[in-house]
Amino acid sequence: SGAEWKDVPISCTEEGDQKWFGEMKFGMGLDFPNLPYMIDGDLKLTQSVAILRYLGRKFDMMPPDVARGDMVEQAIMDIRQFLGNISYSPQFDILKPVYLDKLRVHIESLTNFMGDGPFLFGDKVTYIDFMAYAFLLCHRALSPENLEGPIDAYIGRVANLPRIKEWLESEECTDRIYYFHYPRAHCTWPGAPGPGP
Amino acid sequence: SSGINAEYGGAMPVKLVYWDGVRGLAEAVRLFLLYIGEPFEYERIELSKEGFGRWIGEIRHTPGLLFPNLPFLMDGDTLVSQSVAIMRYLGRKHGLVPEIEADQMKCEVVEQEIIDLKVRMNSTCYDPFMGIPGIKEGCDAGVFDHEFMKANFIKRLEDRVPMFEELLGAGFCLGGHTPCYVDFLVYEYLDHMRRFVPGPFEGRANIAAFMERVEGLKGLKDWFEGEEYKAGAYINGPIAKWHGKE
Repeated sequence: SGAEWKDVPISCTEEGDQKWFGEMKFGMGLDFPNLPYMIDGDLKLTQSVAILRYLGRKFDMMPPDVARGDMVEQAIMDIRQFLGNISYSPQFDILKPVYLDKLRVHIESLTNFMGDGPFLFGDKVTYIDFMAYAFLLCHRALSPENLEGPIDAYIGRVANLPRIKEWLESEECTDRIYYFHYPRAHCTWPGAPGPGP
Repeated sequence: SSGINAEYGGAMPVKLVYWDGVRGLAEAVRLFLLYIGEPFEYERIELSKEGFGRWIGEIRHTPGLLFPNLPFLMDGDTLVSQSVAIMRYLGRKHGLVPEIEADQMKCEVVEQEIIDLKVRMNSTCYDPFMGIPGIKEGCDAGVFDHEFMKANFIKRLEDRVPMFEELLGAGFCLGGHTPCYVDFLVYEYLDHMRRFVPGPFEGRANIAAFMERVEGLKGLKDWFEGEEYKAGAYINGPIAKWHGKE
């Protein structure tokens, strides 16, 4: 979107935990304190879906068909939650095949929905493309063989959007050092940092 | 209802499709449909081998159902799956959506918060190892510790329920005297949770008042006083560790 933004990371350490749970969580004037949160001037917002939809409305990146947009958004959240659940399970290895079955169906639905694309809703890039991109990278880290073919081409197209490409190639890009999940919360598969697309 | 947007749906009543006898993710949609007074058919898929076979073999292949899942709503040629998408769709159709940006943001935060809690409750109540070939119940490889997860869920509720208590002091979720779609999601899922673990809800007067307020709404009062509601339903599917059916 070309908006100016600033990242305020909280470190994944004992000290970071104390900072969030100690002073930040209830001291920031958030109705439902949570991470991530976003501040835009006087506006404070939590919940990644609410944040993305706010930005989508602000920067005209909403899907042209609202009901379809909501369905894709929720379908992405569904599979992402499932991966999140199993990643924190000590029995991750046993649950992984169940997840992979669901992932294959999800990828097929997404690919059929998108058709030629180039993006989920055709020519218009929407906030849902960024949700899909971020979570597809996570799925790919676990199961690269399921992310081949048209879906891989789609990931490449999002990564090549001019300002995204710039970010991914920049020194500040945290994709190279960040985990997918919070490694301090008994996470069996936090998703080791990878090289990105 | 205050006037349906003309471009929605067709002449037929809408059809909601879900598992028979289970509130789960569909009940909030039923309650919303009753409140807005939209005539609807509720197609129930029987919880049996045959029913499951019908879902897998036939219903999930309904033309136009792009992301096959339950519940889904058919409104003329429009098929909407994902309960949140259905609620937002019906909200827009009947003008029961936030009008100003500040309300829209608040609505979406509340929506996501209640869904977060419902997702956690599902993880607490459903054994993820069930049905995996070769894993027998209670064996070392696939142990699902429901009590451990329930204890964690209670801690989570102790953190979040006070925030809902604060929110609902003002009336409905967005303040004011008229509910919007998110109020039905909040009602339904808070009800699941307070039945499952009453502790964190004790003494929460605003939440109790909100729940009564929803149950007393025109269009819903008859449902809550009726035989079908009183007979009770499964909250979660019968295979769940806690399913809520008395």
